Amino acid sequence: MSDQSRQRRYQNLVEGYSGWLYRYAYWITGDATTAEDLVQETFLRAWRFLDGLQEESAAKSWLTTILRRENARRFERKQLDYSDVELDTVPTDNQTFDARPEVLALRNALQHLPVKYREPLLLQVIDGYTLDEIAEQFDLPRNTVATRLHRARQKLRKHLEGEELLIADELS
Amino acid sequence: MNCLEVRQLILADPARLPQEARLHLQQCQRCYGFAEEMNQLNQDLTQAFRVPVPEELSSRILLRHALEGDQPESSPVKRRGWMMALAASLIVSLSISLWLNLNVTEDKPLLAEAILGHMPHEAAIVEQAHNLTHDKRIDQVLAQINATRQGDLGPVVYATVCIIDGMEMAHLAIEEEGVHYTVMLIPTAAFSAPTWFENDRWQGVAASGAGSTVAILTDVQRQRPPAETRQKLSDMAESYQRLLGYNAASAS
Repeated sequence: MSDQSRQRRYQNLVEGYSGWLYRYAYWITGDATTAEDLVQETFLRAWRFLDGLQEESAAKSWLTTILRRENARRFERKQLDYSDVELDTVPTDNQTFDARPEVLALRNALQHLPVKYREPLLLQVIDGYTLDEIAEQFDLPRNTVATRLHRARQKLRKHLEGEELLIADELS
Repeated sequence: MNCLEVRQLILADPARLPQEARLHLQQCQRCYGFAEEMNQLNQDLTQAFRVPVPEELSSRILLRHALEGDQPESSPVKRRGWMMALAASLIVSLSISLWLNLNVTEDKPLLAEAILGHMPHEAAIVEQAHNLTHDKRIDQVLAQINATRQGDLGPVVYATVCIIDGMEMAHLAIEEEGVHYTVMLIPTAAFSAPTWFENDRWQGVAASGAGSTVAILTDVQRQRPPAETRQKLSDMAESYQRLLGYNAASAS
């Protein structure tokens, strides 16, 4: 592959997937700055191993795998380079796309959801991954993924019901 | 299949129920209600997960790649200082280029670029949207940008508020004969005449009037003959300019 076509291919990946990777990183790190760093690291590594990507249709999954590995590496060097960030804390961000009360309540509920439940839910809801695809991505049995998604929705539902009861109590 | 089994499937993946589970829903009102609740939860989750992506993220990645693509790794903290300096210079140059663009051209090619650039963010979700969106949801989305329905919008299968070019806009998807059409209502009158734009995946037309712009896009790969598609998009742009009433006075 010529340098020019390699550059072009890389640029297409950056333009096509940086938004997706940023959101993914945001929800697994809980911090906007860390998320951007993670996306930058992911694309630097992607450039080095670009020739290993055989088919463009697998690009998103390939990049997501790199990002997850970079996140694991981040923890290895976290004491040196990062201030402590609670993994399960989602920052308050006033610049949101949708500020309806039910969506804000849901964001709050997601904040309390462990990452192991939040991550497969993100892949399924935002990107339409099937159970089999998530299982492949995480190298987990399909049934384990199904159970995590099952529990994720149960926990969210329970949390939202609790919120409603609290609001009802406050109003009464 | 009993209620417990069906509900387990719904909780794991409400959007992809097997035929057997769907048959159960037709006969069981309670499970049907539960499935509806989980589908609504999915729609709300889609919005909850959609946090804003920093502006010019792609440009910053490509800039850094150009500067240190094959260099040894440096620490993120050191690099952050570098990146802040680079970002500052990038913002200055982008501001100058934006200012020049706004002053030399009446139509806004930047908005057309932004419209095309926005499409990948929603594509995966829209492609899977086949159920009709409730009118109440459509009204909520339109109300958020000071617009109202002025008639039947047709088979809307997706409706949400997005940010484009720093503005909130309504993003709808219409499904006709298996083809998705994206309809965007953007609260700025950017084009003095209907303007066509396309990239390797999408093509569309944008037309402005009464303080707003309506853009209609469809997938290039699923097109009918080009002339027919252009006619269809053009007709839709005209219709949706009528059907989506934007209240510029109330917005200002």
